[in-house]
Amino acid sequence: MAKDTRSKKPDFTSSTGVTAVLEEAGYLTDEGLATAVQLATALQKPLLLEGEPGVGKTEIARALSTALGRDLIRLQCYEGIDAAQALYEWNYAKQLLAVRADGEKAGVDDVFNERFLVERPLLKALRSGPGAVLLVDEVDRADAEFEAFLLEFLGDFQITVPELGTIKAVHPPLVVLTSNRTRELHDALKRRCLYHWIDFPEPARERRILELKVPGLTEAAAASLVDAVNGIRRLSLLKKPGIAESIEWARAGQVLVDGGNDWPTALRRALGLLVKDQDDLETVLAEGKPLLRAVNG
Amino acid sequence: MADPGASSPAAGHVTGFLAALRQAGITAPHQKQQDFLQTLSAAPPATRRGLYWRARITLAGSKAEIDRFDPVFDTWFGENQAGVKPPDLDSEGEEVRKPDSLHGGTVPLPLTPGEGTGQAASSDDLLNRMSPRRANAQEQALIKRARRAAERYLPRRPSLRLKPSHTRDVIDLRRMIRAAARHGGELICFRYRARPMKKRRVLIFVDVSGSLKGLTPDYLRFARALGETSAKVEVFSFGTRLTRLTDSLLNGVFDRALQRVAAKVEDFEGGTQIGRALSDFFAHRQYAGLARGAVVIILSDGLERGDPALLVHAVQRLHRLAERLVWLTPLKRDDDYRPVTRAMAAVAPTLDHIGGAASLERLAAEISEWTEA
Repeated sequence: MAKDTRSKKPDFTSSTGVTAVLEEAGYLTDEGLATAVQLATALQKPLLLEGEPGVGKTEIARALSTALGRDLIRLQCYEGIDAAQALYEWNYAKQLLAVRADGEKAGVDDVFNERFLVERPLLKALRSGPGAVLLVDEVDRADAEFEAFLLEFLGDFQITVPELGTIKAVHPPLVVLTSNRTRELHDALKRRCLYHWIDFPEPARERRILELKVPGLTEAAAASLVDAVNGIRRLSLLKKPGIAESIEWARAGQVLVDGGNDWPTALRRALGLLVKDQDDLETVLAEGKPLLRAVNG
Repeated sequence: MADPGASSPAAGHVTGFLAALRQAGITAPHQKQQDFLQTLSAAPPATRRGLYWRARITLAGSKAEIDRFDPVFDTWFGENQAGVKPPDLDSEGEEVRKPDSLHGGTVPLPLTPGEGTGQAASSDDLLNRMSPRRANAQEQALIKRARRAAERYLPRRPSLRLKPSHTRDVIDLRRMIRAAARHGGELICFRYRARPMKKRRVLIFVDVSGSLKGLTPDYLRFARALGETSAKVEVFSFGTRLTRLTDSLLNGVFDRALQRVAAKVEDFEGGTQIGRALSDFFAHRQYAGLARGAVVIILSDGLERGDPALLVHAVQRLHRLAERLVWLTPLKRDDDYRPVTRAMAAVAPTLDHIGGAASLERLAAEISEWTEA
């Protein structure tokens, strides 16, 4: 992650300040999310984000790390993840060598000290100097037992290693958790976090996002694209397109338009980037035609 | 809560607001309330909107809670509520109207589904049919047999976690080093870890429509028997619409569970629209994930009243996600059974297996036949 060399400290004391800082990092936010970030820094609490896929839950962590000039440490959760992959692990090979070398002098305690500890994301986040941005991504994918490992960390920003004692953060990291709501998270976890539900953006903001992310897109094209995407979201689809999808769609459309197509044709050809399910594609082609036809730049 | 007391009207108002949230079913625990109060002093909101976000972010804990949160917030801090008088929590004045059920005070109760259409069974009828007739000894033996067979034969997959084991999968260095350190650095023997086998999730859809009158309690007993094994089980019922039964069916006393199910299932005899119910299943993202890699069992006669195309579609999708898709129908009484109804004939090629479900005995036998797992 690129270190930021600006000497000015980013202003996180108001939601407008947060909005401005994040915008500089290329992330357009609304008042709700900006307030959530502001409170997360003010109260030093983890921020739990939920929302449809592709509304920018993961992206916000990346933007925060850029804006604050701090490292981004990412922990991707999956079914079966355990403490050894998330918190810490012992370097067994090194321990083995040490035990062999020291011969009879070596006791158990000698090989269970800092030198042999391998940092995993959570421990790394605790020990990184100026306080990192930690992203615990898709926490709902881990099984319920795993949440228990997180509790001590989220509540007190510390980890207890039985052989060593408790390791506490000097500078608490800024923690962002995301969940896709495939299962309900445990109350104990939610209690330790601030919670924010990210909605699909209002048209005006989505327009600005498209203009920012798609070079060369005209204002008129962005406006009609956003209308089309919102229309498509209203159809009964299995997976509604998120912002990530509409950006890709607009990019592809722009490329095809530059190649000499008109907007409706270009968008129909690039539809696979917006809607990624065969059934949904058929629905959009059957019911969404007028929406596509209305797009022009 | 850092007791704001009733010292100032503002503090009293906030206390009342928190109490109203609790009444609306938002279980913001002590810690969250403290966060909220701390926020008010650390980053005082300049606008009503700012207050809204501060309260929502600190107090609500899920999307469902946000939906209940909004009306309460509007009642207490809405634009035309500037002059709200400090609430008296015991009175039921306009401002502190007791919320009906969990929906927050301002949401009107929905009409009972099917009211006046004759579509839904009267609740008396429902309770009679679902009333807990205790399973007799023979039935109990059958349930036990089904449970045992399920424990033994339900499909498994390797767990994702490594556990100490005699199977020589992965060397367990952690345990070896501990042993070596005790023996002066000498590696005495190898230790291993392996992935133990774990049961796949089981997803059961129970048809509760009128055509299966007598069988519904048996099906629910069967579902519960599977729920008592070490497999993770999810149960849904469908008729005209989909209802999740997992919690009410699998926890607690069965008879009471049956009554709770009766209360939950509004579409008894309301006809069967399996396709629509399954489409509803996929419309909920948090449900759809349950089918991935699972064993899916549908208990139904397949007499679809809706559009067969919708059903075929949904079943195909289910098949793509599930590890195994099994349809148990009471119409199959022997091996000569051929699906005849339009819907059933259309989905038959997609299914991994069509089995019988005419009685508890047959269900228990079905599970026992899953030996290949």
